[in-house]
Amino acid sequence: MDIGRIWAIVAKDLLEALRNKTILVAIFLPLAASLSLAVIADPEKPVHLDVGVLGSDNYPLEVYLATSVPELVYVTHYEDLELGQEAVARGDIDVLITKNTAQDVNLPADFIAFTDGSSVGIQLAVKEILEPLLAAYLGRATEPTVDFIFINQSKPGQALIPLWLTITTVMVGVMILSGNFAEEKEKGTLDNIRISPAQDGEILVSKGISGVILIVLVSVIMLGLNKVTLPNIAGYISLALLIVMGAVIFTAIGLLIGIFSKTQSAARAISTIIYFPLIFPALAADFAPGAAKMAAFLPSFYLYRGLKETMLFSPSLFALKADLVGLTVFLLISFSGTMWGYRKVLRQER
Amino acid sequence: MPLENIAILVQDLTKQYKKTNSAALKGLSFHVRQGEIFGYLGPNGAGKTTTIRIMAGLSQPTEGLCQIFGKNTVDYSGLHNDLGVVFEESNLYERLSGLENLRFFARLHGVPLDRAKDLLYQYGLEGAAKKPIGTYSKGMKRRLLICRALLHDPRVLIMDEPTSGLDPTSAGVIHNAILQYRKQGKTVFLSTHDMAEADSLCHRVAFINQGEIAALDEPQILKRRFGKPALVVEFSPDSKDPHAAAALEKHAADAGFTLKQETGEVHKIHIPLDRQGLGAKLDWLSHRGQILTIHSQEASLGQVFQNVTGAHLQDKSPHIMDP
Repeated sequence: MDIGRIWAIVAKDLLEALRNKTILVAIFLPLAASLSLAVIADPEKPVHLDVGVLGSDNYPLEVYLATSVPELVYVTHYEDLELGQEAVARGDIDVLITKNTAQDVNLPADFIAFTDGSSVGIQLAVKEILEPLLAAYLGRATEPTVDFIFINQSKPGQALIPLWLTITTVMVGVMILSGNFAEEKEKGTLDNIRISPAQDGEILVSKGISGVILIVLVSVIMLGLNKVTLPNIAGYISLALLIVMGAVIFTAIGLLIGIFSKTQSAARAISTIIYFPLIFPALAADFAPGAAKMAAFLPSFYLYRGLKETMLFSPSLFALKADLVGLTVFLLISFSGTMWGYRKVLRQER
Repeated sequence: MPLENIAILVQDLTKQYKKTNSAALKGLSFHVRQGEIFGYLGPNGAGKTTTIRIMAGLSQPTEGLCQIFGKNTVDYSGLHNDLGVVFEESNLYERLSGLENLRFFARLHGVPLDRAKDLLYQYGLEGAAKKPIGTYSKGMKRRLLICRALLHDPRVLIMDEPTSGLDPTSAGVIHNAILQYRKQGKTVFLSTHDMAEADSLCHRVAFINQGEIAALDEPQILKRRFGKPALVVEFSPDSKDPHAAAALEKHAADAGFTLKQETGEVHKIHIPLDRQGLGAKLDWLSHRGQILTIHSQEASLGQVFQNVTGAHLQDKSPHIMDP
């Protein structure tokens, strides 16, 4: 493997990609959508609330919440504020609530609720489900005042970023890179590279690196434009790992389609057919049990779930092990499949 | 011919396509000498491109061998250094400029960028070097393809239909490039279906038809062996004789004339130069009208090809310099 030749192909591919209007549209649409839709509420409004009640002083409140609408509100007791806040940050509970005993000028509310600042859906659910219950508990006709304290400092729109990242990764990998490789074959430019000193393996690796760089670049731009921040280094490491693994998998799938397609239009047609079943079960897995079963066989599911967990709760790498293992399996399958396909097609052409 | 003087050696080359179960090449054998411009002529689908793909290492023969400077193209690791290929299609990166295209291939070959700039200047493309290929004319693209093929200064240049679809001026530039390259002692393998081009450029030509070599030799020898030279006579029948035109028509069939009605009363008559009865034929004409012009026409490669294979090929009148 010659690094100079590999870099020459990567640089050429990236330069071409930047001048390819189809690629630019495919990249900028999700980017623009991620920005414009960030202000819209998180669609994943929970159907019930996991409520943590803090301290033994709030025991009557705890009993009231647990018994009044048990199908809507699941109650957990927390004696320690820090432990309760960590539970909110991890996503174990949606909200940690306590009666405001201070009631000073600066904090005149009836209750204090610690909740996940990154999820508008949870905040809406707290308002819709919890506030009427609290009013009833206090015996008031009007809703009580609740001061929200957000545990995750990230913006509410951050909840949508995993969705856009997954869509972009699959789109650029499967739809764009497949067409690009098929275009090189169709126009005969690949023949020119093949009669140069570049080896077949170098060509495939270069194409893969170009695709991964493109996907990572778009992901970084998306994260930057949306000002996504995570509370700890582990979160950033997890995020980087997930993005790179997703990029490798979907680049390999895109290349595989391109390898077996004789023309650019054939590659685009195949990738369009593959794109939808590849992405929708993963995105629908949260609210459709049937889709969840199907999604377990798709890399997009593990990517989306991993990104969501990382961006909302910043767990450790160990906590993401199921997603990382799933992605690793798909990485090995897609990488081996692409290598096999490339060799097979080269053999056929020869 | 000593082996060290052979640039390309093709022996019993066969290519069978499994999918279509058809043979593109059926046991071809020929060699190309160093410093030679070798014409490879044949109609579309004759097997020219298949041969070139095997020479370039992009395809493997089913049987037989193809060697470049004594090395088998299937496993010759230095093939890319010895060979420059101009493919038939304009396979350039349309979104990149001419200079960016060359820079990319210069990096792959480990050649300094100055070499690319020199070639752009040499082929009159320096003004368009930074423009995208999409804005280039067909002739400019072909010149750039040649620049790319010559970038690493290969010993053999393979060209597949380099002037196809070009106007005579652009074709002339390509022909000059071929001649210049050959002057440096390099070898050119020129695949074309333009007989006039091959006639004026090539030292030797091979006719390929349906995957087989139908004939191979110097153009002059082939024309002498297989061609039919003729006298072309412009003739005006006697206007006072009302039966002169009809008599000419009748006599043409008997005497082996090829008769073509020109504008007005002037006929163009092809008389085969078979050295038998030529004087009598001219004498017969001179008594039935006025001979306006006479000139000889030698056999063309197109005629040779037609005679050898029974197939037709493009045959333009020569417009280029002799090699």
